[in-house]
Amino acid sequence: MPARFAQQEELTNVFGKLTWDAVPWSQPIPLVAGGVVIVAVLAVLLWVVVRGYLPYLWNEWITSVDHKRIGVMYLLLALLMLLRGFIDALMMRSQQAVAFHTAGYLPPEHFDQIFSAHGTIMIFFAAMPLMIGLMNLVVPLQLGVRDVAFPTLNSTSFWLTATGALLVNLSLVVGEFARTGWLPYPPLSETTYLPGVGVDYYLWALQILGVGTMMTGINFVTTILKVRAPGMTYMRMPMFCWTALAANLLIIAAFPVLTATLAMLILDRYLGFHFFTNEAGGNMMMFINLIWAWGHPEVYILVLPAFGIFSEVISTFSGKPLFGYRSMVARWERAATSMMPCSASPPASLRSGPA
Amino acid sequence: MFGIATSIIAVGTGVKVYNWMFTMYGGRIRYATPMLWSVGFIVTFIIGGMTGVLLAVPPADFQLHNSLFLVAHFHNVIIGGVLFAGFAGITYWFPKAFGFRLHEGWGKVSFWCALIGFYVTFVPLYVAGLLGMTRRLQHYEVAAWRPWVLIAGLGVIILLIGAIAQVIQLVVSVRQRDALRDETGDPWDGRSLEWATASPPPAFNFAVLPNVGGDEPYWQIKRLAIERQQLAPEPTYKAIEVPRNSPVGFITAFFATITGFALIWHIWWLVAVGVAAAYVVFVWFAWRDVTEYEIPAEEVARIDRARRAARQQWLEANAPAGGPA
Repeated sequence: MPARFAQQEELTNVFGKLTWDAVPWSQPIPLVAGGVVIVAVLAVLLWVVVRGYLPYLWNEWITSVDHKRIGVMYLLLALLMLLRGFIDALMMRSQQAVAFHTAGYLPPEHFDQIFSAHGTIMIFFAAMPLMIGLMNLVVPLQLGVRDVAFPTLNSTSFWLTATGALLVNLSLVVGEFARTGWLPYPPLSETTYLPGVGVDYYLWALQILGVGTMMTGINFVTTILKVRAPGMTYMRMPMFCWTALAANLLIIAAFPVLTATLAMLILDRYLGFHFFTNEAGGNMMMFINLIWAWGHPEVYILVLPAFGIFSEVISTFSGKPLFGYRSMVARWERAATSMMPCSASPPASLRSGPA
Repeated sequence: MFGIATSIIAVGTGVKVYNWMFTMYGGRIRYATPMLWSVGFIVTFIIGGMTGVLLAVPPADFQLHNSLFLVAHFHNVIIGGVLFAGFAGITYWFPKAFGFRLHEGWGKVSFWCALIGFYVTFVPLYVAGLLGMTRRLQHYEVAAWRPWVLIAGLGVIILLIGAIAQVIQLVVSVRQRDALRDETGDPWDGRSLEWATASPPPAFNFAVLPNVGGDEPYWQIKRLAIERQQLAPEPTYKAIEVPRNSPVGFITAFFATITGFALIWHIWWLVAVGVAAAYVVFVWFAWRDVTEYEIPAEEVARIDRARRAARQQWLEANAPAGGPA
């Protein structure tokens, strides 16, 4: 565990709270896992440089603003993060398989980081990029146009998402990750109980990801509303475009709520505010209400594009037009608009949401 | 209130399940891998939806919230819904992105491993949840939970085999890409416009923007071509402007990474450096003069004529039956 630092020590160190103790030298599992990842990344980089692929990679992929290339990079990120989250799942299942009347092989503080990282990575860095990647790849083609409305913004969205993923994975080797679960409920997530950098990794990774996702939402709503082939009226759009529109409208409605909620927790942790603390008039239930005002639409942000994909696939492989196209359009857009007044989310939601 | 809202959601979801089933009803169904994922989704999602309705009943929810029953429910809908959709979408649109299909055999292996592995992992967790096992337990002492946890452990091994099959599928497909090549741009007999261009599509997507005249534009274009036994007349090709590549996204993200890292570790001077640098990138981007480059008409014509030649070949090869490949 990273040492807890006295305020004085932090002020004298030019690297803030960062010292060599941040690397988990005494914990073989994250140390070896981190080492393997670092070696693998270096090996891939070396291979790219030695084979002379670097200019190709830079010119054709990293700086590309082509929606198809960006879509492929999103999918690659999603699959890598899916693998990372799946390894977490394997560790949790194996821990519970052995930890009957014994402590198992994962100490509690490590186990807590694993289930938190599993949820965070799977929702934000696997599921979301999976859906956004497919939207990038397909929606402009289905609309019959050349690209999204704002191609460079699209590239920035992707790289900010990658930044969030990088920060979460960095916590494996430098410091620690949150021990709160995938949503950092206070008061546990306040500095009183978790003074380490774990929650801060979570907060800043998600704030940066949130900026990227918000820009994706704006980009795709603009694209679907304003950039369509001649004659492509709304009621002629394929179902996946409709569900992408609904999901991105929800992103625009819901992600500012997430950003504001996490910003308040950041103020609590960094500047001693009392939004969600136990004392000084803070109200931790407010965090739970606010985060689920984002959480409910998020469910639809993930599953509406999924429904769109199934609609396309089922129609194609049945050799028939989609049954009830109009009723489905009405259903998606009603689902999207009914989610809009986010503040109406009832507190009871915390009971059965995937907290 | 929340119980009522959740129950209403279930009604709408039920309606669209019928929509998908009526789409399949009377159709000539081909069980290619994307379709397998979709049918697996319908079945899995119905079960996940029903356990969701159970959770919406307040007395049951009072007992089950934060139990493994909840964990099993939301994995049921997220894996059965979003993950299956991801794999359906990837296998469906992979040929569009890369110009060759994924290997069907390994795709089917990974689908069946994922489907069976999912049920073997999460059905026991429903039971453990009903027996009172809460989520996020690092260790436990209740003997009744033990067998269910062990079965779930077995299930995750089946899921691991499925994940390995996915990797093998990708490697095998890349190695056999010439055999799996999609020449026509329409490997699945598709209905919407993404299949109207080459696989992979050129940077400009469409040589001439399609003029949409009905509900399923590409299906109509294709029917017309088959009826007349000829493609639409060659359009007049014009030069196309496409957006110029830009490193601004990557550089912004690079400084965002530094800023984020510095904020996490309270390295305040580095925060200032990161924010200032990101701002400079924005200003630099705002001042650029050239945002697009032009693909000349001859280049557009060359690319599109190659696609049309492949389509013509396909049309002739499939002439008598009139059915697409």
